[in-house]
Order: sequence, then structure tokens, then C-alpha cells
Amino acid sequence: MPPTARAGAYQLLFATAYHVGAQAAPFASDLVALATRTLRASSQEDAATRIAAAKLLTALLGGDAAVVEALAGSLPAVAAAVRDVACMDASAELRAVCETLARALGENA
Amino acid sequence: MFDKLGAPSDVTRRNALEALSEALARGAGQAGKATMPSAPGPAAQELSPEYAALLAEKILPCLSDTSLPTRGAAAALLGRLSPSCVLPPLVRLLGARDARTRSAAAEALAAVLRHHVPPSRALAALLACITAPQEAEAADGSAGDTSMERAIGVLGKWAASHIAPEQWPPLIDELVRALTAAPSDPVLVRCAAALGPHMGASGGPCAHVLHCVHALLASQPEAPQASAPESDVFVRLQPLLLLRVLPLDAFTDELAEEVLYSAAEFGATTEAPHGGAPCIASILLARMCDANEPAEVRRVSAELAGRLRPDVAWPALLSRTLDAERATDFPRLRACLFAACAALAARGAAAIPGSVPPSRALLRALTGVLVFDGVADNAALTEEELMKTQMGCIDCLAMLCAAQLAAAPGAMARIEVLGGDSQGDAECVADVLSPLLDVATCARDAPPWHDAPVLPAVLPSLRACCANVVITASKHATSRAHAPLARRVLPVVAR
Repeated sequence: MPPTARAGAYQLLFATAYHVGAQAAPFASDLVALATRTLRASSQEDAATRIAAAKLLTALLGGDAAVVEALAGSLPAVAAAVRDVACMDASAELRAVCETLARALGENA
Repeated sequence: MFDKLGAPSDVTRRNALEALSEALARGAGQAGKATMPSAPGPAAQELSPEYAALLAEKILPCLSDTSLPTRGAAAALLGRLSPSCVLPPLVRLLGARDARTRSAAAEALAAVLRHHVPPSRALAALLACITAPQEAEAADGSAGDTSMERAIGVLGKWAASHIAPEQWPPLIDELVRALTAAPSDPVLVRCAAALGPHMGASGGPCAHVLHCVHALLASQPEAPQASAPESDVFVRLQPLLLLRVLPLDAFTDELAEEVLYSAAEFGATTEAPHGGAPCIASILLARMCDANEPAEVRRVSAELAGRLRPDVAWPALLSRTLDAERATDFPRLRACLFAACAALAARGAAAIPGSVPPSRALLRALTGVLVFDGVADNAALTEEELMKTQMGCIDCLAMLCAAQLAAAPGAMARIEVLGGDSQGDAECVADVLSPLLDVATCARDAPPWHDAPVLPAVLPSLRACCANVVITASKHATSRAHAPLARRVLPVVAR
């Protein structure tokens, strides 16, 4: 899948997860694992795709209570990935998104 | 007695109001009857204007009394006075800062409307009052617009429960008269909107409104005059705006069948009234596609066309959509798409007669626009026109997806022949979402209903459009569609 299509696919996941609310809970763990892998893959993925993956994480972690509950076990791995990217990534926009997400995760830890 | 209205004791003040009420009743020859401030009072209408004004002046301050029973008695008494002398100050008091005063003023206004018969006269008086130029601020410094909104709220509550079925026709005639006299007044449209749910109730009132609307439409020229002044837009809009305030059920009112759907195109065998003028459905379908109509008229006509009965609206919209796409008439196509979206928004899957899946021909036409690359070859087209039309196609496809997802399980699974175009490929597509999702995620290059190969230069744009269809469908999806949407999209895209 070309990079623009991958970024578009993440935007599609973001919009769907946002609008379906609690119905995303059964799929949340898989989505978070996918988005976290993409976030860390700085050499394989372009910045737009990784930013879209970060936004998907934001939608899931800030979403319905049922979704957040389904992600309880994934939080440490997500928090670690988000902190690493916020500190070291080359893309300023991606760092900004991850800094915001890291602060939110840190407040709720 | 007036002096007693300012007495320190609230019992004294209330007694004074009751005494005034009884005096009014006795003055009309109703001596011996118990004082019932809530009863209709013909006595009030016999008072001289000067005395009525004096009474109003003395009683209005009692609406701000600290005692609830006193405020209630004052409201009831004011309800028996002439509308012309009490309505203006009451409407102003609806904007008062003190909530108790506002509440008492609303009660008094409601009493005025209830007590003055026939209801059409009460309505005429209220409309004249609230459409008069408002002062920038009410008596105690609050906004005039707020008091007008509250007056319209009282109007709606009055219409909900105090008008008998036989009283509606003259009241509707009064509303139409006011609208015709001032078609550009937005306050009258808001008043009509407050009355709409009640005058659109099935049976007599609704049919009467539709006959009035048809008479207005039939009296207008079929096409707007090229040199018409700007104010003519409001004249052409006025019957459409009246139609728009009616509930959806109005468009299936059997008593108004002859003015709504009496055209051969819709299978009717009788002529419409007013000298066989086109029926409302024909007029709406014509106006929404007429390039000479002002944009606002086209837009409202398209919205209303979407509310027509599904067995009339959908086939008419489908045929016009296919014609417009074949002719590359994008403005007309956009009007049809807007109407189709309005139909789907109003009725969901039931917008398509029999709740069958959408036709292959329609989906092919919509996809054809998404892959269109002939702007350079067509002098009448611009990139902006194409983009706006593509957005209309995306919206329509998204609404079809959302409607399918929300439909009861199995309802959209039936495949039936609709009787489509000359190529005979009139199959229906039970699942619009999944093929579009496959295109968006690069699993395929074109949906199965699109027969021609997609040019490589257009493919990225098509994928983006398909992704936008799914995103828009998720926005429009009702809660009933959330579970199937999540199941269809999330694991597929993640894979």
C-alpha cells in the first residue's frame, strides 16, 4: 500500500473509531498494537502515516469508557512508545502530538 | 381598587384583582356567575379602548408581584383584555430580566390567545405585534429578540392544545395571508415553524395547508423572470418555506393526494385543482433542476423533493440523476444528489421504495463522476464544479452506506430487479460499503459496478474519495449502525 493510502487508512480508522464509540472496544487492542508499531517504525513509515497513527491512539485512549477499559493492559507499552517518539523523533508535528498524548497518559497513570 | 393593587399585603392585592375581574364579568351581564378568571371573557372585548388601556397599565406591574397567586390572577385578568392594548407590553415583558415576570407574562400571553376567539383573530393580533419593528431593548433593558423568541414559544404551546380541528383552516388562511403580505419577514417563517407540527397533523389541517401551498405555487410563473427584482426570491421561496415547516408525514397525507402527486409521471389518473396546474411534486422536481431559479429556491426545492413519498421521489430522482450524469450536467446532478441525500436523511433505507438495495445503475453513475477526468474537454465545466459534484456523490454514497448499515438485518439482503436502463443491468447492490472500503485500502482498483478500467492518474483520487465515503458514512451513521460499521471497517482496514 503506498504511503498516502496508508495515511488515509489510518484516518479512516480514526474517524470510524471516533464515531462508533463503545462499539470499537472489541477491536481496540489490535488497533492500538498496530498504531504503536507504526509509531515506532520511523524508518519504514513516513511522518504523515505516523501522525495519523498517533491520532488514532488519541481517539481510542480518549474515547468511550468501554474502549479505555479494553486497553488497560496495553497502556504501559503505548505510554513508552509515545514518550520515546515525543523525545526523539525528527518530525516536529509528530513530537507535538505525542507530547500532548504523553502528558494525558502521564496524568492518568 | 387600583390603589389596592399596590397595598403591602399580598392578600389585599389579590383580592383587588379578583374584584376587578368580577367587575369585568358583571359589566358584561354575567352577574351571579362565580369569578373564573380563566373562563373566556367576552366582556373584555366590550370595554372602551381607553378603559382597557387603563386597566392594562394598572395590572401589568402585578406581573412582577412577589406573590405567585397574585401574578397568576394578574395574568388571567390581562388575558381578558383587548389584544391590541396588552400584547405589545406583554411581548416586551417576555424579555424581562426577572424570571418570575417573564413567566407571568408568558402565562398572560397564553391567556390572551386562549380567550380571544376565533383563534385566527388572536393569531393575527400576535403576528402584527411581533413583526412590528422591535425596540432594541425591552422595558428593563433586556434584548427584544429574546422576547420575540419566547412569544413564538408561547404560540407553539397554544397551537399544541387549544385549537379545535375545525378552527385550523381559518387560522392557516390568516398565516398564509400574513406570509404573502410580507414574504421576506423571517419572523413570520419562525411563527409558521412553531405552528408547523400542529397544522401538519394528519387530517384536515394538513390537507388545508397543502391546498394553500399548491394554490400559491400554481399562481406563480412556471419559470422566474430574467429581469425580476431580488425581492422576487422571497416570493418564490414563500410557499416552499411553508411546506418545509410541515412534518414528514404531511407528504403522505391521503387527503392531499390530488395536490401532491396528481401527475401521469407518478401514476395519477386525475388532474390537480387550480385548472390542472402541475402538482406539488412536479413543481418541486422542476424547480430544483431549473438553472434559471435562484440558488435558494433550487436548494429548498431539492430538500423538499427528498421528503416526497418514496415511491414517487426515488424513481423520479433516480431517472433525473442518470440523465444528468449522462449529459454531464453537473449543476442538475448536484440538485438530484442533494434531494437524494435529503430523502435518505429523512427516511433511511425506507427512502428507496420497498427498502430494496440501491440500483447498480445509480452507483455506476456516482462512481463515474468520481473518476471523471474530462474537465479539459468540456468548456462548460470547471475543476471547482467537478469537485463540488464529487463531494455530492461522496455524500450520497455515504448516506446509502449509512442507511444500509442501519437497516434491519436481512432487510437489505434481498436482490430485486428495479427495472433499470436499456442495458438491462438493473441489479441492486446489497452492500455498498465493502467494495468502496476495498478500493480505499488498495484491495481492488474499482468497485464491481464500475465496468470501465480506472486510469492510473485518477486512481489515487478515487481511493481518497472512497475513503471519504466511509468517513462520511461513519459521521452519518445512527447508533443502530455503529456495531455493523465497526465490524465491517475496523478489522478490515487494520488487516
